[in-house]
Amino acid sequence: MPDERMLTCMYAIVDYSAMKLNMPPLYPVIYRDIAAIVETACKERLTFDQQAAIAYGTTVEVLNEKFTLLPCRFGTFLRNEKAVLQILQQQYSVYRKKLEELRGKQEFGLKILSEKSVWKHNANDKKQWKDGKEYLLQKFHDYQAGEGRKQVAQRAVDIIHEELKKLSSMNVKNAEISGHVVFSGNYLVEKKTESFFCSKVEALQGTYPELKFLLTGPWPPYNFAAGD
Amino acid sequence: MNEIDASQNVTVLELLDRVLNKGVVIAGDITISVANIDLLYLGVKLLLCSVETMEQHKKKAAGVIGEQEDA
Repeated sequence: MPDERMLTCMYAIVDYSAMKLNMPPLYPVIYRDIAAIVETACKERLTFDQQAAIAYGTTVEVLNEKFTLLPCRFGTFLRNEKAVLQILQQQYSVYRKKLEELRGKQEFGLKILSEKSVWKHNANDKKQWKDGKEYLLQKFHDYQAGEGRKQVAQRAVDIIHEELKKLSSMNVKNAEISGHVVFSGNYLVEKKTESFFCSKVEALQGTYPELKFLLTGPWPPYNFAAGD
Repeated sequence: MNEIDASQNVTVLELLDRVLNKGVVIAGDITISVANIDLLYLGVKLLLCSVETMEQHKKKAAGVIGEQEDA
């Protein structure tokens, strides 16, 4: 009789053909040459806070050093091992194909930020205006100048993205950007070309000093693990 | 905030963005209620985004479990 108080927490689906796991309390649920790396967890002891999410991510990173893997999202629980095995059986070909695509590759995240001045001209904010017309004309002029700078920044971002696309196997450009962030994207890069990719980002930063680059990684391939 | 602290914060945010919003989603899993989630300080946007994502999966999972139980 299954213990209703227990759940099976999934960390990742891995290629289990070459390496074996020895990381208790984690253990593999194996189906053919793939495995789900799981842990049994007591429902009453589960916590869902920032620390737990970071711990989960750290574990996935350790697994990523050993295996080609598809990271699962934090909070992925199944009723028991049987349910895990069923998922592996049903999705085997999808997972196998994805694992092949991701073999020997890691993810890098890039955010590009601009100073506020790129978007908005504030130089006249404190000026006293002679009349309403002068105020509106100046505002219109500021708006036009801001739009011009925005277009320049956008062109730069497009060039940067095109350059980095050439060095990656896959990429995703995040649509949601706001505030100072003018670009957010992720690149799947072969391990053997990682340092070249990073030096290219550094070189691009040198070319566009008015933009601030935030490169993070290598990460497990979170942005490239989901099915088509 | 010094550069190392800022860099660590960016890394933590990037990690949380990934583990909460990305990765493989298993249909039929049990996504735990977000009512008790206590994700401090993450930045309103990231937090809202994550909660929305969790809510979506919660609804999806509830639907799947409901279907399984109905069957």
